Amino acid sequence: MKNVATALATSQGVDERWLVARARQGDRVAARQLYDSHARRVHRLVFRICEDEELARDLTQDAFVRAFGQIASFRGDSAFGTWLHRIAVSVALNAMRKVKRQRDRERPLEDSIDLHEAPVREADPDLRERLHAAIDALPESLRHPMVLYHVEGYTHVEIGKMLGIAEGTSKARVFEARARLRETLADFA
Amino acid sequence: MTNDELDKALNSARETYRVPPEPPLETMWTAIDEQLMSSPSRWSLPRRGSSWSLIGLAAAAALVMGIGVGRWTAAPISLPVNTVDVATTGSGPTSARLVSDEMAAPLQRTATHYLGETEALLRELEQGTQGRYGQQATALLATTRLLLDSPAATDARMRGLFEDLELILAQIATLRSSGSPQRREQELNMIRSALTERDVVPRVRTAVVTLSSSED
Repeated sequence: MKNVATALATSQGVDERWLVARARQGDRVAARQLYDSHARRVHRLVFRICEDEELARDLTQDAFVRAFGQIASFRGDSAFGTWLHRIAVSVALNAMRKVKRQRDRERPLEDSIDLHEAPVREADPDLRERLHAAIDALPESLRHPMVLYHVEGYTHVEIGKMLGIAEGTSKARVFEARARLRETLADFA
Repeated sequence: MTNDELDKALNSARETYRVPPEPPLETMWTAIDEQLMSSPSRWSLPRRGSSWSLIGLAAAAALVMGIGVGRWTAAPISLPVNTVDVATTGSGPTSARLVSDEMAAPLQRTATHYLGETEALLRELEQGTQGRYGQQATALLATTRLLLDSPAATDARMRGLFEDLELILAQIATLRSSGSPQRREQELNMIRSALTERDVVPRVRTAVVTLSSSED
């Protein structure tokens, strides 16, 4: 039966817009199909921002809840995926700001307990690991555009919309991030 | 490090940088579904688990299935899949409809196949056979909606049957995210009752027989 459905879907041009329209009318099955199509990608995107398995799950759920809750406002100007990813990035960044504030509050206490056990990152000769560490070491304002552009493959226009910055700002930040990475990884030349 | 070397390294990072473990998609969907259910959302399908929702399910099923209830025995079903409205082409009389066998056969076969598969699923469900109803129903639901948008649904009785099946299959499809086995069984029983009361399976069977005989 799957083949018949697939053949019909192909021949009649049923696509995501149809699923979105159904979901907008409150169709849970259509919403589920949209979820099935996008969940892994959204989860990966969120995980790359927060690098926490449990948090990534929660934030992915939050992103879908928010998206389906606001689906009536989706006008179809962009692809559903683009719109959804924008929501996911927004959800993830807001959550990370909260996490950062929490960590900042807790850090002085932790530091006072035992300063000598602060983790020391040892130099790793492997380029891949050094690159990952160098990306992680970038300030957030540079790291997010950098990851979204080079790792996730978004355009500067999309990144601008996701992060609420101008396209040119996105380009400038990626440029700056690249310069810092080249400097950090200079010994691999 | 040159720009090219950095680009090369960054390209490899697409596959290696912060790669997440496989997410528990089913569990996550259950949480999403429940959050949306608990908010004043507009999900059209019934809530799971409350007595009000079950009453609502029964009422919705009865209402929708009451529309275009089968009178399959009264007249033979004729799928208008063989027809092309020539009024739109300007090549014939306005009211005339010509037969296009090339278009008819595949769609008619698809409809027959779909109804046969659906009948099998509904019979299994009626008989209480353990099966993966949700996945089957989701696949059939997609076909139902496609057929609803196709010339196969031009016939009012066929359209009525497709619409009834759309609701039933949508309800079955959501069973997979049902919480406890008790709730699942409650919902299954409600669907079975609706199927019996409205003679859905016999209507599907009659449609299959009629379509199959018209293929010959």
